[in-house]
Amino acid sequence: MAKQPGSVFVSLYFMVLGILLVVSAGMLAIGVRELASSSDPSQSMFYVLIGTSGLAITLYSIWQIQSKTKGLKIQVAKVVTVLECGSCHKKVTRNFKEGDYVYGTGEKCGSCGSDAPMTITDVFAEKPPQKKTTL
Amino acid sequence: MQLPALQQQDNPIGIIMNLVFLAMFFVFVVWGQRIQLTISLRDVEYALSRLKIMRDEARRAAVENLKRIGKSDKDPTYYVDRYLEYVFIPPVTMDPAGVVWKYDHLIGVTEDRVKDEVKAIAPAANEAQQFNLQNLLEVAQVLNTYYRVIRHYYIFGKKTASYFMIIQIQMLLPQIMREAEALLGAVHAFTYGHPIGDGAGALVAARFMHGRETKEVAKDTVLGETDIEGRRVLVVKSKGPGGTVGRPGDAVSAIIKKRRGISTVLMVDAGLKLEGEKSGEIFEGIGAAIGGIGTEKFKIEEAATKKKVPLYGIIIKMSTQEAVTPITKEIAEGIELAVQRVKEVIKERTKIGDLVLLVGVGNTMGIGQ
Repeated sequence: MAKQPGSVFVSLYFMVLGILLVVSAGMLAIGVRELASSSDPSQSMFYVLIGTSGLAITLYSIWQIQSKTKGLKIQVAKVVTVLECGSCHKKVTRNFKEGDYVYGTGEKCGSCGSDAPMTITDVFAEKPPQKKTTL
Repeated sequence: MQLPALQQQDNPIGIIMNLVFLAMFFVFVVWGQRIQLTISLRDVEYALSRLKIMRDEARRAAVENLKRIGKSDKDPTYYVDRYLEYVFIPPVTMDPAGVVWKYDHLIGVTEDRVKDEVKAIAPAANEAQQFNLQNLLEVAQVLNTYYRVIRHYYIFGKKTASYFMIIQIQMLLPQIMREAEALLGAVHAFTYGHPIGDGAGALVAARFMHGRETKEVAKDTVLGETDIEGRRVLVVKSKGPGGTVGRPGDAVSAIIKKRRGISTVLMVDAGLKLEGEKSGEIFEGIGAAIGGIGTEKFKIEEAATKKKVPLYGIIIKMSTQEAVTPITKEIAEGIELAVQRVKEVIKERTKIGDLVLLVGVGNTMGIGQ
């Protein structure tokens, strides 16, 4: 099997992220402090800019890792069965049951009380996939 | 904006920043491609881990369903694992004459073998369930193939540190992952036997065939007869409700040979839409509207050309994912549009009293007749 993401590279990557986070936070703190006290705002602004950029990069990288490790999602559609009564032509829609198929037979008609079972005329996903199951 | 800290050589932070930028310049000049390779490898590695999860999920579903439906004493895990590694060995094409029949023969042998093995491992499953289990196994097999091939290029690219090999596979990944995700979505449909988008053509045929007497004209393929606008219409579809595509090529050849005077062959199939197009729209064409490896298409074209019968096609648009997942409302509406269009084409292109052959192509899972 291929080498999994738990390799040296990952440890190194997280170490660099940690260093970047600490350095960026430090620069931001210095920048803010200097901004309040120093007579040269351009240098303080530079620290604030570097610190903010560093923090943004770090947080973006963490967000990317987090979204990648969330896992796969299987899209499960809600499937419905449409039945039609041969006598009164009333249409009934209900949730799909295993064994249903188009032009198969379903339950008896509840409206006209006909003895003949209703015919399945359609089976389809009612809405675009909504329910998501995380693997 | 001026960056004073970088310009102040007496400022220790300025010196550090200058050194950092200088170091970064040399790092990128010397190891730039290596860094790019590492980033690309990470992408491939991530896709690979996703493919492994998908493959394992499809395998798990296949094993569970074989146990649940098949109710066999034997544990199907061994069989599933063996099936995942099956390969179709294509015939030699150096001398292409007759290669279609070689393909046809090998496909038939593959189908029969899988059918027999599923029958043995799932004795309690009825015919339709056996077909659905075969489809489920095929999904797991394709996902396993994707996983193995990507893993091969990943390991090979890593071993040889070949940037160009890795970026080639990285370029293909979006398409591969989209197909793999579509197949994963199909696992649920094949587990419960939902009609899928690919069955749109078969459902159009079923709309005309329902209530008529049917007979098997080719392997897993049925024929029914009906009248539309004064024309006699022979309707062909794969035998449902099990998940099979049947042998429409054999059926069309046999019918054209036996029934004289067929004026038109009209085929309805699901087709892949392009990005930006709407699912469920229909379009028309001239020729055999059928996908697959090409053997069935070849037979239809041969039979139609010999008798000089015009071939028309009606295609219902959908995405790769929609083709293997339950029929959506848009596609269901497209199917009804296609039914109307079939009637119009028959009226426009044939005369009263003509004999027309209508072929509904596609996987008929969840669609009877």
